[in-house]
Amino acid sequence: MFLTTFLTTMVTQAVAGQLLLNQATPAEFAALDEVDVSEAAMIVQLRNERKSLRSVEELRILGLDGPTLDALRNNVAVEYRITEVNTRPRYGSVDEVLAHFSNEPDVGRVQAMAMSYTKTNPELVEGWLRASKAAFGLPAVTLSYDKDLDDYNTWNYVDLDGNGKVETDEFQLYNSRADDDDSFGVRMAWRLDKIVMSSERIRVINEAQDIVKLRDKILEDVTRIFFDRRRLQVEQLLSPPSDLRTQIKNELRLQELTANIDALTGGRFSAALPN
Amino acid sequence: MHKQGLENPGRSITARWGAVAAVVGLFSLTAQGQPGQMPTGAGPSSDTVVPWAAGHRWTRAGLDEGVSRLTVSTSGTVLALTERGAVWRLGGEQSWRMVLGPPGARLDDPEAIDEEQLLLDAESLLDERVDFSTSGTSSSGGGESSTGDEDSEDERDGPVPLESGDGLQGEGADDLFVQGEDDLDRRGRVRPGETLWAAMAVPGLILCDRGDGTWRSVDDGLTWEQVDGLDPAHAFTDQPGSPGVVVAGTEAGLRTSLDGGMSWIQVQDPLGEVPVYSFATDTKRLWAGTEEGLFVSTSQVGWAKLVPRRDADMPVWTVAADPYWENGLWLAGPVGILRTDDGGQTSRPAGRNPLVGTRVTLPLDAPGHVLSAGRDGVWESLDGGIQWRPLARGLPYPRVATAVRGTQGILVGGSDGVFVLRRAVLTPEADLVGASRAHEKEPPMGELVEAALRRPGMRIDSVLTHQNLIASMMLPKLTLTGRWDRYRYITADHEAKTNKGGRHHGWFVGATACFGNCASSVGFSDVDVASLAEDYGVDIQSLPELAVVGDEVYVADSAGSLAPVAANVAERLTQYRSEVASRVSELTLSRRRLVDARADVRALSLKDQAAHELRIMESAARIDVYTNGYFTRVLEGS
Repeated sequence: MFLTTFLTTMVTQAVAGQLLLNQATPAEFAALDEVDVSEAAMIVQLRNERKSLRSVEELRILGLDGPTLDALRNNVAVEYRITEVNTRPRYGSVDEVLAHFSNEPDVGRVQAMAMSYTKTNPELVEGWLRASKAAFGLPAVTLSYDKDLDDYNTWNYVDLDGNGKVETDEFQLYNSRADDDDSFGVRMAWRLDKIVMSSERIRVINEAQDIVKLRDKILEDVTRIFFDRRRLQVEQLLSPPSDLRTQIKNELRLQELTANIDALTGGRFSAALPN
Repeated sequence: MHKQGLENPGRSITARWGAVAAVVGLFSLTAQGQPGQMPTGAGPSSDTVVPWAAGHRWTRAGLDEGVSRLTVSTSGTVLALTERGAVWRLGGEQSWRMVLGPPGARLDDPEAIDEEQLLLDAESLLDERVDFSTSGTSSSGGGESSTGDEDSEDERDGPVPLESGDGLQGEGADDLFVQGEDDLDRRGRVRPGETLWAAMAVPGLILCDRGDGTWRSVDDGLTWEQVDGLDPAHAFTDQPGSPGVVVAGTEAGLRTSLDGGMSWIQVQDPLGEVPVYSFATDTKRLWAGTEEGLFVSTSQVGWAKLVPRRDADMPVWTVAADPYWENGLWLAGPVGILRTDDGGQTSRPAGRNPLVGTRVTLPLDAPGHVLSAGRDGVWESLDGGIQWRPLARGLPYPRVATAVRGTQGILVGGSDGVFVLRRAVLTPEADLVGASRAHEKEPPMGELVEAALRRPGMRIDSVLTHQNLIASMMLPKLTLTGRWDRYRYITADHEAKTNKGGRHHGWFVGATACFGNCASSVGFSDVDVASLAEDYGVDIQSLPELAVVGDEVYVADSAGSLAPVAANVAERLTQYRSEVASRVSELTLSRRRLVDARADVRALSLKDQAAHELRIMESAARIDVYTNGYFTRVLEGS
């Protein structure tokens, strides 16, 4: 369709003493504080699968904990490959331009990734709300077992017939003794009032509201970043800068936006990008 | 004449006959400009006439100075009279050049005027002074001119800005329709002394009336000479059938020049002393819009007042003849736009929108296709003024003083300069259809708001209502208890004669229903009371249960204490629901505007088009944020 020539420039944003994310060995990763051998191996394996990594945020997909990610952020640099395009492709319509990015996840999918990662899915909230109501349809069940190991004796005067009344001069002393008693109990209590009104349910509603707000904010952020990134991509596609300085600046900005999306999606976005 | 067309707009005619191909063909022919047919309404016209409003956008035409009048000469040259009184000429190279400096321009102001032009002007002035004695005699009209030359020159000292307080004097100020000078200006009357006119009968003849008098050019506006003897003018026109005869509508009445504007005479006729604001001509007739209504001249000297059934004395500030519509005229006055289908014998409001403040009516390509420009911006009608569409995109300020149609397109002038309107690249019909189709699949805004408020966590749950609190107080804490006991016993007397033993067992069942405070829903633990005890030595046992909602802490020591907590939660929820509803509405409207503007950006670069499309997509994605993807699902039909 079109001829394109490339002039590739490697831009390394490395600082002395830092590892390069796409070049460091497992041993070098493992030498970092908070990064163990297994984590280092996972990083390298992910790098090999994706051929290259764009940022430390991509590693969130591995489930690394905060201190590990911080250690990597502080000690690892990322190298970028700048490609100078001398012959620009020609596009006839906006659809053709946007189709250029059809192999990347669309915004709806990115929003779903963000919801899943931040545990703010509507289904989750719905489940909590439903459970908070249904919970009080079930009774509070108490099972009990008592065993009386104490002996006790009771002495009474009874007449000779064994009756308890002593009305004659002849009587006898009668002893009643009990021990080794067992008692099994079951107690079920329903808080019928809580089916219609409960502090727990109010609290869940309150928390659900906060989760909805959080989700709205996260999705607004990720949507904004997604389209900032896409605008930059379109700009680079249709009018790529001619000078290297602007190219580097744009590339860094693109990687920053990608990393921001990864931070909100737990690295799922980069995982879904074509290698 | 098809008078029924006015009574019954063309839509009904189209509905009745639209299926008949021959009739449709007739309408098509009419709409394409067959003279002598009147507009029949929205149906046939809008089907065939290409509206300028579709996909329109005004763009600056290169002159940013405030403009009070534009004109187009026979050669297609556009000239502009600025509010300062300068005349600019749009040359063939499509760049503006000042050809007549503003009144009072100084030689040491190089930007105001070029010296060569000033010298030419000076020569012209000298020539005029030589001719003044003769022309003044002829222009005095036997001494009956209501305004003397000297007085006139005093009044016209300096430029007359568009919105200055200068205005009419005399009887007109007390007119029934006029509340004052400001009101006059707001309603659209053009001030005298702001006139620029290009003759159609005499190629190259341009007349300009401004603050310092009347100027004349015979070379298409390249050079100018000042002429004298004319009162502040509102309008000029060619006398039909008499090339070189120019008629001027002035504040003092009608004046006529037999020598192409060099000298002026007052003719003894009904308009000799009536302010005349505008003219319209066809091949045989000349109409004059005046302070006392509409007049028509069917000969070169006589004028007759047209007396419609109503508003006969209403001032007519603007009159325009529709070239595609025999006997069709557009009038504008204090009450807005009127249309007449019989050459002014009768008139009526054009539509529901009176467009008060109209300064210019500009018939366009077909019968009933007209442009109105004035205080409220530019409007277009395809159906003889029944319906109007605004042409506002790109105009920074709605007030428009003048409008013409040139080879460049439609040009308008106002306080922000000159703007040009070109037709959209794509066919406007396609744009209109596309725009309407673009919204077809969209869910209604109310549905979107409802979807946003229906999300889990956004509903006002019944638990937050006070009825539920009462109901909870009426329902018991129900306890069922079952117990099975087994015990062993031994009885004996001290002589061991009656010793005996055995075991007993049995069920004990009970039920308890407790109402009232025993059924309280107390159970908050939002505050870490254990840490309070450890850190501050608080006696936990004596501490009531607490609840934290937002920034407030509630003591929950009884069933009734739930009420304020629930109310607070409900309040917070209601506030957020309101915010979300507002946001969804804004996003929906914003997206619709962006979709509607698709046609506008088609003339822009692919990069700009892509950026616009991304904005539309971003708006949809943001709506999806608040509707859990409902918007996109509906758009995609899933």
